Amino acid sequence: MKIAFLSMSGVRVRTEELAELGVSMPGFVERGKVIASMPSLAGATLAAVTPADVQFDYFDVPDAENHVVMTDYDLVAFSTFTAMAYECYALADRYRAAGIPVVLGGLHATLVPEDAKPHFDAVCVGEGEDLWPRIIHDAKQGRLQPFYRQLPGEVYDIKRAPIPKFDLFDVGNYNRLTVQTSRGCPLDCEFCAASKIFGKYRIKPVEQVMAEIDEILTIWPDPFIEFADDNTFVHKKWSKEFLRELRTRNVRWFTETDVSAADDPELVDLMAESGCQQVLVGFESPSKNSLDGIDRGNWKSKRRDSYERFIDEMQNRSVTVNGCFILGLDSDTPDVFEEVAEFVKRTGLLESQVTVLTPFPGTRLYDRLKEEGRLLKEKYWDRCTLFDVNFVPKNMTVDELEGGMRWLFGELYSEKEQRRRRRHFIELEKSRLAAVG
Amino acid sequence: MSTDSDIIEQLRQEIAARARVDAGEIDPDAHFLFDLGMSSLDLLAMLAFAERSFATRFPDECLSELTTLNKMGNAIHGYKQNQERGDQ
Repeated sequence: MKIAFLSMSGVRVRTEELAELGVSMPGFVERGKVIASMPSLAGATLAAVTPADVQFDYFDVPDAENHVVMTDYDLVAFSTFTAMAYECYALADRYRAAGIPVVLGGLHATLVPEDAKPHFDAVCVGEGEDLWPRIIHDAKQGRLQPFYRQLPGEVYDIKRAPIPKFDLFDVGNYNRLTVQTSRGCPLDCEFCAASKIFGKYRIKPVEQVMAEIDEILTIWPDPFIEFADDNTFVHKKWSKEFLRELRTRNVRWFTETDVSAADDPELVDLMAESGCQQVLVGFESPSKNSLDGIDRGNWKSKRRDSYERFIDEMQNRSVTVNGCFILGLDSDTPDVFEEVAEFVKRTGLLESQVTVLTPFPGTRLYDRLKEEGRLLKEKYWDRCTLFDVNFVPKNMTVDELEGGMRWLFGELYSEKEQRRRRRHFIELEKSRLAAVG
Repeated sequence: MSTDSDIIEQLRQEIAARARVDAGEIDPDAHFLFDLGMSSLDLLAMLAFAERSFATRFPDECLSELTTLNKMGNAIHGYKQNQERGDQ
């Protein structure tokens, strides 16, 4: 049996003016390029649980429209983001027309399996490690079931997760490889799908993560690793143990964290010493008022006062911070754009990412906005790019939100502003060099 | 005061450490990011190292252009020449 795994990722803005503007905006384009140039961890993970007698080939699909259907496969598995769902559906339709069974898994499939089903012979709902061997078994028999689901409430024990088959990838084609240390996030923000998809927050044992990293080191001696976590340093004891091990390896890395990572200077020291290049953190808003209520425990609002300290603690140790802001939160007024610009400039954030509040299907946010009649369209997956507006904001118009976002892009990503941020970081680095002699 | 060859040698050693390559194998025209695999953070750190080590300050509008050993060495050389002219 021969299986093709097709990974469809990348970001494509739909709003024409923003797309045109985005072409020259590094804050958006570069992050988009990074995402698009990472191989799918799902592909490598499924390859690791594929029976030895099955051939498993991996393909990135950067351009679905011009993808030539490969008729020599017995099964084609797709993984995609919601923003690419329609392109994925169309490509799956072409494979089915050629008589090849198709299956979809991943985030979008898990969030809205019924929506995807008409285009696929089978949809894999939830974590794939245990479901994938069943799918292969049934495909071999020609008896694919419409849905493969984890049992209600079932959570995969990630201590059993196999080491992904990283050697599936030609590392020369990518600028990063991904490793997952945890699944889910305990914060449960209204807009985030992670808590919904992954359920309980789980961490891999340190030795398991290190085994994966050591596997990468066999194919890439000085890798750049992106930890594909939603929030890496939730458990501080585990984090320190992990980073002490990591600093003995030759890696550079990037991850996502919340601001509590900077509460413990020893942890930040370990991050810097183990090769951390940048952390991405969801500040969401500089306004305490706008943060109010976005997560169940109101944690982000309570931690607003530590944002500036977080940036200083990280950047003073050469760990750059990519601060993320969401525009269009319910308490946001048209003043929010200037507030974000002021915060970014004042704090010396080396990088920032501004996105629009996005009601991904399956999230609490989607359900609430739908109930309040504020979705522009109920099924508008190709606008789930994080940059296209698909809801009516509470305290401004859609035009104000789109216009404000364009203005903010111009403010934050102009050449002048980028120079200013680079200079700020160079001066910080010089001070650090002077301090260490 | 550092000679031009001292400057190039010190830059070469720092690049080798950051790019994790053998100093002797660095092509002076190799691009830090695209040829040597350095990160954008490495590039900023290199600029900070060069400015501090050679008492230089690159013009902000040139920062993104100093992406090879030769370009950085030439920029430091030019800065020092301008300084000397200013001193005379």
